[in-house]
Amino acid sequence: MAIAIPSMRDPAWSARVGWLILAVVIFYPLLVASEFKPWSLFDERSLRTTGDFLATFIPPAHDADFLKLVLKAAWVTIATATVGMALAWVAAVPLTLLATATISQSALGRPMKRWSALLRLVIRWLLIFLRSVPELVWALLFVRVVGLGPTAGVLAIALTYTGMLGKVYSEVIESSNADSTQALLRNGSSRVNAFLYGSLPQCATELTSYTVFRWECAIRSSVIMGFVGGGGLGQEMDNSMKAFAGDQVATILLMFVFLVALADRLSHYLRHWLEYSK
Amino acid sequence: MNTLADKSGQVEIAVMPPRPRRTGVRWLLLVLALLVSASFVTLDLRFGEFLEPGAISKIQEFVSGFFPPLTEKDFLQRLAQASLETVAMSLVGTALAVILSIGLAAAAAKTNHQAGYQAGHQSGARRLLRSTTRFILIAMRSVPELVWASLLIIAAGLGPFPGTLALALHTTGVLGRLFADSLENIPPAPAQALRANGTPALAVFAYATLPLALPQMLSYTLYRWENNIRAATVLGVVGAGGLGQLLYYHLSLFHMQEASSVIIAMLLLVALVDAVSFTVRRQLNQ
Amino acid sequence: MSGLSFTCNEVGVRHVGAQSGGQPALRDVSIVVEAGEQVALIGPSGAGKTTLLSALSAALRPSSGSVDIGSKDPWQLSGRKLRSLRSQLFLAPQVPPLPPRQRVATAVLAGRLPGWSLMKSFRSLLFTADAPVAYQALQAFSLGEKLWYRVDRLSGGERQRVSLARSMVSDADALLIDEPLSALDPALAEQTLRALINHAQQHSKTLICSLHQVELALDHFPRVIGLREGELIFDLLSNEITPDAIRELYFGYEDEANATSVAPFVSSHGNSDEPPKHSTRCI
Repeated sequence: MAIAIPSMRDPAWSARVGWLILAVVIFYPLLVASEFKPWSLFDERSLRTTGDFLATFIPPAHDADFLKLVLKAAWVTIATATVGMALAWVAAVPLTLLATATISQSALGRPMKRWSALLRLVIRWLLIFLRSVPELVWALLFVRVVGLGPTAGVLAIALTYTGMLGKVYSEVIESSNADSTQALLRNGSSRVNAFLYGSLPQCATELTSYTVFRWECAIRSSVIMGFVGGGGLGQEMDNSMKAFAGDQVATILLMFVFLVALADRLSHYLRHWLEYSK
Repeated sequence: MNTLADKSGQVEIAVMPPRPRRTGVRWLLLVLALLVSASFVTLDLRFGEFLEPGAISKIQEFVSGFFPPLTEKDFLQRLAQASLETVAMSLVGTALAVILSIGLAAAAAKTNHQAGYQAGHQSGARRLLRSTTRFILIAMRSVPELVWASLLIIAAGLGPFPGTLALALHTTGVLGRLFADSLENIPPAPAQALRANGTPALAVFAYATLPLALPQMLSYTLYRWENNIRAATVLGVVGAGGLGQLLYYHLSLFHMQEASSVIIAMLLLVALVDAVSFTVRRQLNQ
Repeated sequence: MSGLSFTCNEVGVRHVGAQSGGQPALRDVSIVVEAGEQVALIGPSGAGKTTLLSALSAALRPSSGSVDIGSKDPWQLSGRKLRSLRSQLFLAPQVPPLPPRQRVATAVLAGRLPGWSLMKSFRSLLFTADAPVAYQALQAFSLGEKLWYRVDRLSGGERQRVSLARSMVSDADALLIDEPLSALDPALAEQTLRALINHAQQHSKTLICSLHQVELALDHFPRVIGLREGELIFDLLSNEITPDAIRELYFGYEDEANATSVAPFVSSHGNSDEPPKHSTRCI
C-alpha cells in the first residue's frame, strides 16, 4: 500500500487563480471600452432627465388620432414582415432545390458534373452572405436606394430571410430519408417531382413549422427596421422619442409588446396544430 | 363483393374510401393568401422604380460605390477601435446578464420538492415571488435590444454604455428564463439530501443545484453571446456605440467605401465570435 | 457530542405516488432509539426501511402517529428551528446524491455546510477549506488518494463510500444511513461498515443503518430491527435473534435472505457500477 498522499491543496487551484486573473485582465479593458460607468446613471442630472421622461409615460397617449396612427403603424409592421417573408419564401424555394444535394441526379452515385457542383457552391455562399449581413444593415442600405418607407424594410427582410430559409430548408431536406427521393430519381422523375413526392411528404411539417417561426421573428425585425426609416411602429417610436413624448412612447411600447406576444402565441398555436393534425 | 361488382359503376365509387377533408389546411391557406395580398396591396411599395429604364445602371453605380473598401490607416484604426467597442459591449452585456439571470432564475424556478418534503413552508410569498419574477423576465425579453438602447440613451447618454445595458437587459430576460428551466430540470436528489441535513438554502444552491445546472447554463450563455455580438454590431444606429454607429455615420454622408469596410469588419467579427464560441463549447463538452 | 434520541409512536406513512397501490408504506411502527445507540434495520425489499429512515430524519412527514427527534416534534417547529434540528442529524440516501462534475473533496465537505457560514461556503468553492478533514474521512474508506478526483470519474462503489465520508465529516449527532453497502463487494462491505460503526462509537453518535446483508447486521450491530411490508416484525438485541426469526422475516423473499449471506451484490435496487445517467452534457 504505497499510495502517495495527495497534496492538501486543490491541484486545480493555481489554474483557477490563473483563469481568474486572466478574466480580470481581459475584462478590465473591455469595461473601459464599453464606457461602463453605472454610477453615471445615478448622477443628479441624468436621474432628473430619466425621471422627467418616465413621468410622462403615465398615462400613455390615448387620443383617437394617435391611436389610429399607432394601429396603422402596427399594420404596416405586420404587412412589412409578411411581404418580406413572402418574397423570401419565393426566392428561397428554388435556391433550396438547386442547392440540396439529395435531390439531384448526382446523388445517384454518378460523378457530379463540375458546373453543377460549382453552382451549388455559389448558391451556398450567396445564402451565407445574405444571412450574415445584419438585416438592419440591409435596411440602412436600401433606405439609401429607395428612400424612407416600408420598401426598404421589406427588401431587407426578404434578403436576410432568403438566406435563413434557404439554409434551414436544405438542412431539413438533407436530413430526411433520401431513399424514396432517389428511387424516384432513378426511375426518371424530374428533380422537382422527386422533391414533391419523395422529400416533401416527410418534412412538410417541419418546413412549415420553421417558416411560421421565422414569420414571428420577421415581425420583431420589422419593428426594428422602423428605427432606420423602414416605416411602421419603429419609425413612430423613433419620432416620439426624438420629440421626448413619453406618453406616446409608452403607447407604442405597449402596442409593440402586444404585437410580439400575439405573433408568439399565434406561431406557437400554429406549430402545435401542425404537429398534431397530421 | 360480387354483388357489388355486378351492378353499375356508381356503387364502386361508393366503395372507394372518401377523400380526406382537410378543412383546417384550406382555411389556413385562405387566411394566409388574404394576409399576403392585403399586405401587398396596402403597403406603399415602390418596386416600380426597379423597372424604370436606367434603374439597372443606377443600381450598378450604387453597388460599385462600395468598391474598393477603404483601407486607409487612420480609418482602419478607427475601425479597430469601434470593433473593440462592439466586442466589449457584447461581452460585458452578456456577463452582466449572466449575473442578473442567476439571481432571477433562482427566484423564478419551481424548486423540486419531494412530496411533503418541506412541510407547509412553501409559502404563498414564494409563489408570488415566482410569478412576479417570471413576469419581469417576460417584459425584459419582449423589448428588443435596439428598443432598450434607444430608451436607455435618454438615461445614459450616447455611447457604448447604453448599448451594453440594453444587451444586458434583453439578455437577462432570455437567459433568466432558460436558466430557470435548467434549474428545474436537474435531478433533485443532491439538493434534497443537503436540505435534509439542514444546509442553508443558498449553500444548497451553490453546492448541489448550481454544479448540476452549470454545463447547460454555460452552453446557453455561449449561444446568447453569439446572438449578442450580432446585436451589438447594429445597436450603434440609434447612437449606442460600436461598429453600427460608424456605419450609420458614414452611410448618412454617402461614404460608401468606408461603409463597405465597416460591413466587412462586422462579418469578420461575427465569424470570429462564432469560432471562439465553437471552440469553447467543444472544450467544455470533453 | 451526545448523540440524539428518536421516538416513533405508531408512525404510519402513506406514499403519495401510486407505486404502492394505496398500501401504506409504514403501519403503526413504534420504536425508541436512545442517544448513542447503534441500530440496524433489516427486511426484504419493500419493507419500508427507506421510508422509516426518511420519517426519522424529518424528511418525510408521517401521515399518522408522531416522530420525536431529541424529544421534539419536528413538524411543530418553525422553518428555522426545523433546519437547525435537521442539522443535528445526517441522512445518507442509498443512491449517492453527488453532483457528477464536483470534486470529491467538495462533495465530502458538503457535509459540513450546515455548520459553515455562508462566506465560508462560497470561499470553499474556490479554495477548498478543511481539505485535511475530507482526506481523513476518505482515508477511513481507503479512498484518500481520490481526494481531488471528479465524482463522475469514480465507480458506483467509490461514490457510495464518498457519500459515507460526507456523513462522517458532518457535525450531526445522529447518522441515518440507507443501504451503505449495496454497491460494494463483500470484503469491502465489511471494512466499510466497521469504519462507519467505529466512527459512531468514537464520537458516541446515534447510528441507524438499513442493510440488505443480514449476516453483517447481526455481527456488527448490538440491536436489529426487522421490518416487513411496512410493519415492525421484531426489535431485538442481535444475540436474541434466531435463524427462524430471520426465515420468517424473509418468508417469500428467500432469494434475498440467502443471497445476502453469500453475495450481497444481488440487491434488487442496489447501484450498479455504471455511472448514473444524469444529463450533465450540454445540449
